[in-house]
This record gives sequence, structure tokens and C-alpha cells, in this order.
Amino acid sequence: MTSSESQRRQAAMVAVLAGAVMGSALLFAAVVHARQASRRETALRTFERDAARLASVWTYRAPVCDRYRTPLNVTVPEYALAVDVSRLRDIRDTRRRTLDLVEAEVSRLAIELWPREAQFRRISRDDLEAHLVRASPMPFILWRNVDTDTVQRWLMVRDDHPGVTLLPLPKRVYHLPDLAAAVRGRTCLTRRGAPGVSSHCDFPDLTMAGWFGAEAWRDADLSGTPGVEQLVLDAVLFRQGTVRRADPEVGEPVCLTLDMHIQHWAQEALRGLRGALVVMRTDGQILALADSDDGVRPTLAEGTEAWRQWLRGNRRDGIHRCLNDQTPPGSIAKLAVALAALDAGVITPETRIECRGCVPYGPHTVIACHKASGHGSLTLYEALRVSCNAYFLTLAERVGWERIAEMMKELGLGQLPGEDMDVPGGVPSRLAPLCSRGAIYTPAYKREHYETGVEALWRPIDTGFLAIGQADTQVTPLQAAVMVNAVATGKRVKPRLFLDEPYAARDLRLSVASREAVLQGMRQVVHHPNGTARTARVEDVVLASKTGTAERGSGAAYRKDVWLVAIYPGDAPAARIVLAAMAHDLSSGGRDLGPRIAELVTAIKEWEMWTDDQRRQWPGTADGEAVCQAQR
Amino acid sequence: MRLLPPLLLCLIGILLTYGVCVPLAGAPERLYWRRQVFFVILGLGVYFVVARASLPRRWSAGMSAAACYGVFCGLLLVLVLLVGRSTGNGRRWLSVFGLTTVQPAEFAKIAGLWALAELVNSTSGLRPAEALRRHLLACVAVAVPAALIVLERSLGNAFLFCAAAGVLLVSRWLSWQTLLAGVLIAVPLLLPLGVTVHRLRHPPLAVQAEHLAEGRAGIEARERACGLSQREVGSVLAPGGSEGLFSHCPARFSCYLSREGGWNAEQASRCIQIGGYTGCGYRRGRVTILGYLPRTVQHTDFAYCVLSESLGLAGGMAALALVATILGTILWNGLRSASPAAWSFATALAVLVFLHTAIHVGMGLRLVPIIGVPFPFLSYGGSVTVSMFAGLGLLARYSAQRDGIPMAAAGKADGWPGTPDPAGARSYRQPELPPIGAAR
Repeated sequence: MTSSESQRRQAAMVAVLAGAVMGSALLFAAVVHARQASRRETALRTFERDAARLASVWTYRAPVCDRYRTPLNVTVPEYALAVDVSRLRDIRDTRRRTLDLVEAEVSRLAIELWPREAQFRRISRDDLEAHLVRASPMPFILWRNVDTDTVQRWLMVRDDHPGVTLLPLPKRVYHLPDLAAAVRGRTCLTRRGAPGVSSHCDFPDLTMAGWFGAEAWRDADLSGTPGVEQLVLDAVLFRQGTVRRADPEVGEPVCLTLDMHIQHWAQEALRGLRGALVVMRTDGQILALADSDDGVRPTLAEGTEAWRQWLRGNRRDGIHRCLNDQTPPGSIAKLAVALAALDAGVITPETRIECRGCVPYGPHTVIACHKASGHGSLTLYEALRVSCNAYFLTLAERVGWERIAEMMKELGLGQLPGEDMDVPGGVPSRLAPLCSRGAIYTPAYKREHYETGVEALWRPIDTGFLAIGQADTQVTPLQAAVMVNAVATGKRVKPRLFLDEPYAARDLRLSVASREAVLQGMRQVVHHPNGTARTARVEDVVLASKTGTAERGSGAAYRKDVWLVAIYPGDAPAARIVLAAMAHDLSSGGRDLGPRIAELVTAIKEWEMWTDDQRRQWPGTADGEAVCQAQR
Repeated sequence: MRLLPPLLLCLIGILLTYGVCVPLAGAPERLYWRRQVFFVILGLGVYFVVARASLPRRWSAGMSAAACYGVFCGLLLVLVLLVGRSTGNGRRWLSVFGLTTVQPAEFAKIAGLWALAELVNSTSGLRPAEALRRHLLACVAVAVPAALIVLERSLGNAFLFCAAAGVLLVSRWLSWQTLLAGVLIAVPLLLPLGVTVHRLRHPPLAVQAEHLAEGRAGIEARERACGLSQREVGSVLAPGGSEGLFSHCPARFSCYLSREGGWNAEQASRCIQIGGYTGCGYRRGRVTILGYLPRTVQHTDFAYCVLSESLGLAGGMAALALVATILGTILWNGLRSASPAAWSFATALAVLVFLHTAIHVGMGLRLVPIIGVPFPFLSYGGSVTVSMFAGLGLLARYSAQRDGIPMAAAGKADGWPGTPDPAGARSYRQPELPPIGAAR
């Protein structure tokens, strides 16, 4: 064998050896590759989990309507120009380059659309950088509430700006912003996802939520269900597509029982006073909830900050005086005393009781009647007509505090709306959580609140205080309306603020004769020349009413709170509407509230003759035109 | 026919680069694929020039190799250290009139191996002392460019060059029996190495609990989950601290030894897993399209992973089969070449291609650390593509020299030594192998 052949053989051997080593290595790589390839399903699942994110999609918030289903608080689209950074940038771009790109695009767009100061806010580089740092797949909103002219200009140049989009955003608009503002309520912006997925919704949308009033009380119904979008994001969290989308579900409209005309008149009736006024149908539907804060609190057209300040200062007193302002009932409590006495058979309407100007409760203790010389001998009708304290103090001694307290409870005092109504039809009322309970002055109450010594004992004079609505008996205007409604109809109804709440009422154990006797007295309150509410008289209208005055404080802090409750019309079977008005720091319910109630009743009388179309037309308030309030 | 496998790989590579460079709607297109087409055409041009160009009669192969060595392993490597463009960890790129950049280290590898092959095979007939001196000179010829490449902080290229040069020298010095024995001893040693890596990546539960109990949370706990902290690895691998040449190594090794393996390695491994056996389809690989595997390295350091995600195991194996064909072609050409220098160069080139492929695939499979080695002909890259074609061209020149093609084509001798008879290679008297290391 020659050396060259030997050399070639050696080279061949080395080649075979090298080939074997390389082949083995490549085979090894192939085996490892095959093992990894067998884990495809697991890897796919893991990757899809890593690359997918959930984002919520805003939904249409349903309107709050009046009793004629006319929308009051409405969601309308507001157009905004937004830049989709995902479409502008290359994935390899650094944040600085992306920032430059977006900034240049925004500048170009602003120049082309010739910005208007009021509409175009200045977009700073810091704003853009903050958005990029968040690495959100959501578009960056440049300018909101863009007007139609700008939209048209943008449509002309949109092909030059592929990364810019026109977004419809929800905006809440409040019509009649000064009417029933606290009841209708307002929304605020919050960041939340769809129910059930909010905990792991990566990009919850900034959406509207009920803040107070009906917007908050019925938030779940109004807001609907936000949609969910499963996004495919690239490695730096920019949107690259959508895997699936669950469309949002629109909320259900909520209809209030309020009539905006009556609400307007009720607010007008309270102008200049500090009090509240409830107008309620005898079936429990509330037609107006007015309080004196309506002139003080911001209207719905005012900004969020104004409302925040107002709520911060007033929230502790409750959202609405009709529901939360607890005041001693004064003489309107005499209705309960009269009913209790008649129902127990202690007296008949014709039974006479002597008024000598005061009723003694000890050697140095008397409760005076407002006529110091005394009213003389009075029947129930006359006693109600002149609101004689001595008559009802004497009557209370005969009836006893138990029956009086029981009757007050039957009439709805000291209870939440809809409470203790063992009837089908939905209890408690949706209003119940918002209302104050009030209180009935009883020995149990006294023991609970006056813990020490003699003060905690129930004395005969306490029965007198209970009978004439003084001391610690506390009633809200809504409770007063329910009470007077019970007198008119013999039923305790559940007050309703929402049309979808079912009617519920409980028949009271009151004889028709007893109620009729009390109603007769109440009619005389208005229509007799000596009636305490004669100022509330309206021509051609039979009105039954009762006034009340409660005293509180002493010395310089001495104040009177006045009441006036009325039934329209005052004939029992025909009664359709009840009113309960309360005002602080006045002298007489009849003198101060009577004329205002007369005006209101006159208006209601006309309103009753209107057609539904007329009722649907909004009242011409100071801000009668629709006023828009931007929410986003 | 010998160009068919690399051209097929180039075609696949261009399609892959096109796939990752023409992105989803909305983003601007990147032009890498067009550049890669240009590089392949340029590489083919270089191939034909190197394989067929005629040289003056007085130019010997040794002189050509020495000139190339001087230009690529000396001048350009020094130049890149002086005026090169600094990117990432090192300074490896030279700008060509601002149009493109080249990486001289890639050309230096081919030029160095060629010069080395010529040098160690020019010792026939020399006295032992002179032959020894030449072999020592060969060692220096390997060390100098390797050191310059290390100074560029391109450790992967330095390793590849040294490995190929080492195999070239060893195959020249040792008999095939000795080589076989060495391989048989070395291969079993890889097994405990693999087991060790596996144990480091998956420590016993008690060790994990101990690390968690130490209060090391988040990334630090994961780093320590392999049993070694970056500081511990760094103290061994980077004595110079954070400013040294090897300062980037600790993090890479720490990632390699950790369970997750770092972002790139994790996503590369995910690409291969999601590709499965048949792949997701061309341009449908979501890891790639969505940029989870960073787009800066998709078409370069992880081209095989992108291929596997698109075409699955089948596509990957097809690429490996093409590489195996190229290796076979290289070895076959070297074997049937008349020149021992050709055989040495073929061996070294085969080792270089093999190591490029093995390390590139191993990076995706997490068998080796991420060191940024491209897949020959498949990965995007002008320097590596052109230099590989140049290497193939050199081999073709050697092969053609034996077949007498250059002379027939050019009508004259190409002037390389050992080809005294223009009539053909049949009358060529083969030089004897040098005696060093041989038992003669």
C-alpha cells in the first residue's frame, strides 16, 4: 500500500468518524426536539394564558325616567378623538421612539383640525409617556366632546392618520337639572369590570356608576352588564387582535313615580322655607318629594366637585329631608289620638270635653292650650278644628298611652316604609334603607334613652306629650304622608318611588265611622272660619287637613317646627292625593304653610284635568331647557 | 449540485425572514428579507469568484491564504476594535460607507482556517525542527485572531474558531485510532454533564424550600433555584467583575442553569413546543408574530425556532437534513480532493458548520447557553452567509483543482503550488503527510 493510499484511507476513517459524531449529535438534537414537540398542547395553553388579557367594554346606561317614561337622566354618545398607539408603532421601537411618533402624530392632527381652546386640551409629552408606561392596549384619548365641525374635518383627513380613531364615549345628560336632583341622583366615573370578571379584568373601563339618588339606589338595574373583550396582546402589551367578545348588556330603564310638574310646584311651594313636602297618591306612588335644599344644593347641571362638597357637608343629615328629617309631629299626632279613642269606644264624635286653657299634671306642672282662656266644651270635630290641646290631653288620659302608641304604629309612625306589612306585594319598600325610622315616645323609649333615675320613669305628663306630638316623638314627612293616607283610606300603604314596585297596602282595624269622624274634623280645619288651616282653602275643592306646631329648645334656642297634612279631595272615598308639609323655624302651620299648600292644591286641581300628553311636557323651570352635563 | 442544499437553506431562510419582517397590518415593513436576498446573491458571487477566479502564476495558495489571513484576521479585526460600531455587549461591526455593516470575525474564521490548513500542510519535506516551528506558528496563528475576537467580546465566534482550528490541528497530528479513542472517552463524559445541568435546573424540593425560607422572593429566588446565584457563577466566569470582558457571561449562565432560562430561552423553547410535529403554518406562529420571541433576534439567533414553530418538527428535521447533506458534501469534497490542505480545510469547515448548527439548535432546545450563533445559510446575516459561501468556494476550488476544471475553464494554470501540470490532476504527485505525531 502506498503512502498516499494509506493517507486516503486514514482520511476516510476520520471522515466516517466525524460524520458519525455529527450525525449522532444531530440525531440527539432531533430526539430532544421531538420530545419538546410532544408538549404542544400544554405550551399552547400556557401561551394563550400569557398572551390574552381581558378588557371590559362600556355599556349603555339606561335612563332614569319620570312616571310617564320620559327620560330625565339620559346617556348620549360623546365623540372623542383617540390615538391607537399599537397601530402607529413598530414592535421593535423603543419607548422613546414610540413617544416621538405619537407626539408627532398628535401635533400634526392638532394643526390639521385647527384646535379650539375650549375643546382641545394640550397633550403633554408626560401624558403620552404615562400612557406608554402603563402599557395599556386601550386607545389614548386625546380630546373629548369633539363637536361636529371637528368630526367632519377629521373625516376628511382620517386616511392620513391611520392610528387615530373616533370613539363614541358615554355621557350622562340631565334634563330639568334643578328638579328632584337629590332623588334622581347623579353618576360618577369609576373603574370597574364586568360583574364576575372584575376581579381578573386586566383593563377595566372607566365607566359610569351611580353616585347617589335613584342612580345609586338602582345602579345594578341601570348599569347593565359591561361586555368583556379578550384581547391578544403582543409582548409589550399592545393590542394585536381580539379572540372573543362578550357584548355588553344594556341596563333596564328605571321609572320614578315622580311627576315633574307637581315636583316643580312643590319645590316652588317650599321656596324660602327650610322644610320638606311630600305629595303622594293614595296608592302609595309618590308624585313629588321636595325639600328646601332644592334651592340650596347644586343642580344636576353643576360639576362633580360642587356635588362632592355639598354631600360632604350635608350627607350626615341624610340625602333628602322628606325621608330623613325627623321632627316632632305636633298636633298632627292628635289624629292618632282621636282614632285610638274612637276605635276603643272611649268617646263618640259628639262627646264633649271641657277645655279650661290648661291641663294640670302636678302642683306646679301644667300643659297649656294655645287659647289661655280655654275653648270651653268641645266635640271631637271642634277640637280637631281648633286643635285644642286640653281636649286631647284629657282624651289621652282616658285612652292611655298604650292605645295611642299602638295606633301611631298602626298608622306607620316609628316604622320604615313597608315595614311590618304582612301582605303579598313586596316588602320592604325600596326606599326603606334610605329612610329614617323616627320614634314614638313610649315608656320603653324613655327607659332606653333616659337611663337615670326619675327621668326614666313614665309620668302622666308623658302621655300628654305623646298625645300632642311633643317631646321625643319623631316623624319624617314621608311618615306623616303615610299616616294621613291611612286616615283617608283606612289602609297603610307602602310608599313607592319606582313604578316597578308593586302596590302593597294593609287594611287597618279602623272603623269607617271613626275615620269619617276624623275626616269630618279635618275638613272643618280647612273650611270652617275658625279652622287652623283655613288659609289653605281652595275654591271648589273639598280639602281635609290638619296643622301642627312642635316646640323645641328653650330661651334663645326656642324654635317651632310646623306641619300641615292634607287630603285631596277631603271626601273619603274620593281621596286621591295626600300632602304632608313640614317647615322649621316658623310660628304656625296654618298661617305659614296654608297659602302655599292652597297654591299647590290649585295647581294639582288643574293638573288633574290635563291629558297625558300635557303632563309629559316638561314644566318651564328656570333651566327648563335640557341641560347637558358631561360625565366623561 | 453541491450548491443545492445551501441554496435551499438560503431560500427557506429568506422566506422565514420575510415572514417575520412583514408584520401584522398597521406596522411598517422591515426590509431585512430584501437584504438577505442581496446577501445570498453576493455570497454566490463570492463563491464563484473564489472557486473559479484565475490568479497570477506566481501567486501560490499559501500566499493567497496568508494574504487573506493578514487582511481578515489581522487588519480588519484590529480595525474593528479601533473604529468598529459598538452594539450591545461588544464592538464587532464595521460600517461600510454607512450602507451596511460587516462582522470581520465571520470572515476571519474562514480565512484563518484556510491559512491554517495551508500552513500545517506545507511542512512536507521539511526538517523536523522546521516542521515543529511551523506547527508552533500555526498555534500562534490560531491564538492571535482568537484573542482579537475575544477582545470584541464575541466569545461564541472565538469558541467556534478555536474548536474548528483545534480539530484541524488534532486531525493533522493524531491518527484516526487516537481520535476514535478520544471521541469514545469524551462522549460518555457529556452524560454526567447533562445530568448535572438537569439537577441544577430542578433542585430537590428541600433546596427550593430552603431558598424560599431565606426570604428571597421573585426573580432572585428563581435565580437561586438552580443552586447558583449570579454572583457565584460570575466569580468563576468573570474574574474582572462587571466591567471585564466576560461580564455578560454570568447572567447568561445563570439563565441557562435556571429553571425558566430567561425570556429569550423560554420563548424559543415555547416556539419549538408550540410548533409540535407539523407546525402552525407559515406566518402563523403566534409566539413569533406577537413578538414574544423578540423580533430583533427571531431571524438571526432563533431562526431554527421560528422554522420549528411554522413547520414543526418536520421542518426542523428537513433543515437539519440539509445541513447533514452540506456536511457530507464538504467532507466528500475534501476527501476526494488531491490536496491534504483541502482535506484539512474541509474538516475544519465541516466542524465549523456543524458547530454553528448544533449550537444554534441547542440554544433553542436549551441544551447550550444563549450565545448568539446563527444557523448557517438559514439565519439572517450578510457576514456569515457570504463567509460560508466563501468557504464553500474555497473547497470547490480545491475540488476543481483536482478535477482540472479551473485550468480547463481558464485555459491556463491557476498558479497554485502543487499543480505543475496543467494537463490535469492525474499526474499530480501527492505530497506526503508531515511526520509530526505520526508513528512512522
